[in-house]
Amino acid sequence: MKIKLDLLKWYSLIRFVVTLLPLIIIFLSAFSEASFLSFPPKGFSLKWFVVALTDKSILRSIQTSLLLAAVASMLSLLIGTLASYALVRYRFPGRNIIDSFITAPLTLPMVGLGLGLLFFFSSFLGGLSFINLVFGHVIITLPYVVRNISISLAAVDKSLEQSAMILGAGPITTFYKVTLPLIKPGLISGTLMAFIASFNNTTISLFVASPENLTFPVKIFYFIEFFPDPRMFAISSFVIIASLAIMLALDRIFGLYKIALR
Amino acid sequence: MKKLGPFRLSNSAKIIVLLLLAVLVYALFFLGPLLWMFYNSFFRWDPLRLVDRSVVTMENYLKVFTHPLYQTGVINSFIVSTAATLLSLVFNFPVAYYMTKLKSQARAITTMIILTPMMTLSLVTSYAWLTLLTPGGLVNQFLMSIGIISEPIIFWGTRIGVILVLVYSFSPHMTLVLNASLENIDPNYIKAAQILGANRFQTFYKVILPMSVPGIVAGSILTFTMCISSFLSPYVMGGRVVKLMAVQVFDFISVQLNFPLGSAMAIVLLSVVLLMVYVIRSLAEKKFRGGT
Repeated sequence: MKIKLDLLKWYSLIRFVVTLLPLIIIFLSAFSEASFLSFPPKGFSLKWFVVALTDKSILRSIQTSLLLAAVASMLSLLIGTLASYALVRYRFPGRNIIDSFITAPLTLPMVGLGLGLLFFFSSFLGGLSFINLVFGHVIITLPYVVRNISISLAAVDKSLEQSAMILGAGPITTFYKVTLPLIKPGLISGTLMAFIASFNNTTISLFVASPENLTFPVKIFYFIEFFPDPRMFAISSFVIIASLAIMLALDRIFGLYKIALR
Repeated sequence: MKKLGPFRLSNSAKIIVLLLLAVLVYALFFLGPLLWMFYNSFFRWDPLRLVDRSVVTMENYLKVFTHPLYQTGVINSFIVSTAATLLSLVFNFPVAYYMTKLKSQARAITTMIILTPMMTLSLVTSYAWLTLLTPGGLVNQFLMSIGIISEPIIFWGTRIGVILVLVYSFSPHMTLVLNASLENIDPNYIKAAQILGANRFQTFYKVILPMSVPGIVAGSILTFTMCISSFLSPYVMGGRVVKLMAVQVFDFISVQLNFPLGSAMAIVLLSVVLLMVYVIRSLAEKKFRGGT
């Protein structure tokens, strides 16, 4: 009995190592001296970090991605909070349809959405502008926000809101002073997840980001297509460390396990 | 409810105000593009105007299913996604089960490890796998040194390679769904089975496995839809050599600029996924109504 459980444990440990293997490769290969990617890395040098950090086009793409993720997640926060309130607090015809529509973009193939958006923008709404790119991302970030806020909102006792109203607070004051503080965990986790989803999104951007708004993942895509050298891994190491830090923060604040299951 | 004051909006007006922005965004940036793509998939491609809207035709859809190139794409997509789903199930079931036995601290750490493929750029992790899976790479060297294989396995541009990166990329989803369903099994059933004299294998086969069927089904359908929709990891690992629907959709715009045919292929892909989602929904509802 003991042996069997150990077998399970060892298998799981190997499985965890395999999960982390690509990250280890990324970190170690970034220190390679060679101008091609191989593992184990040849020699040791920091030159690819220097190349990556002095490459203006990479830094620019990171800047674009950060701005895009910030704007998309803030817009999702605004639109998502309003929509979640309607979906959780009211029962009305068409509610289920709207509810399933909101999560639909995450279940549908991104290539399909991307192609549709590209095709649509080339005929309407004035082409591949930054604003159109932002809304292409809002479609895939809004589901995270709505899901997280809806869960928090459903847990808020309605009688608290009603007491505030009875005591004379208007609907906006009630929302601002009572509901908002109570759903704060949902707001934060939803927005962070939206931010990460937008920052990491490659497929939608690949279709609808114009050369002026090249995002970081698209830049990486072109590196892989045309010059796959260790600079890609060097810059990714930074991005991975940053995302791990966000994950750790999420875990500390809310318990990642609960968030992941939403 | 009684209205409290002259400025209070009726409930329906409130709902409209609250949902207005979301509905507008979805109509313009989700439904609009999909319908536009659907509409244009019934026309011919025109080298100058992109789409020639003078004749309505089904030929794009016929081409997707009958032209050998695209037919291969459809078939390959199904083969690769099915294989990746089954492998993912087999690889992750033990881990999902192991995680139910952990205490909260260890659980948090393992969950974090399991989630890493989801939180990192799949392009980069897939490329990292590619450097490991070259003919002279570490994996082939290891397999040859222990004598499992005598010739290096080619992973780039083959279905095996694509299947492996798909398993890696979508393991978090499978593991979490399985784990959630295993978590719900009352440990008393397992204890009861053991008291009644079942050995570990029997306990697993007769108690744990049947009780985790809803999780297995849900996890498999989810993984399948993720795999068949996926474009980046298969593209890194298979290039344009392994023909897959999702990769071909991208090819239509990056290489051929054939919007109508690309749209038809995307619509086929979307329909497959929608069907799967519908199946998940109805299964979940059945389970809910059954009261388990």
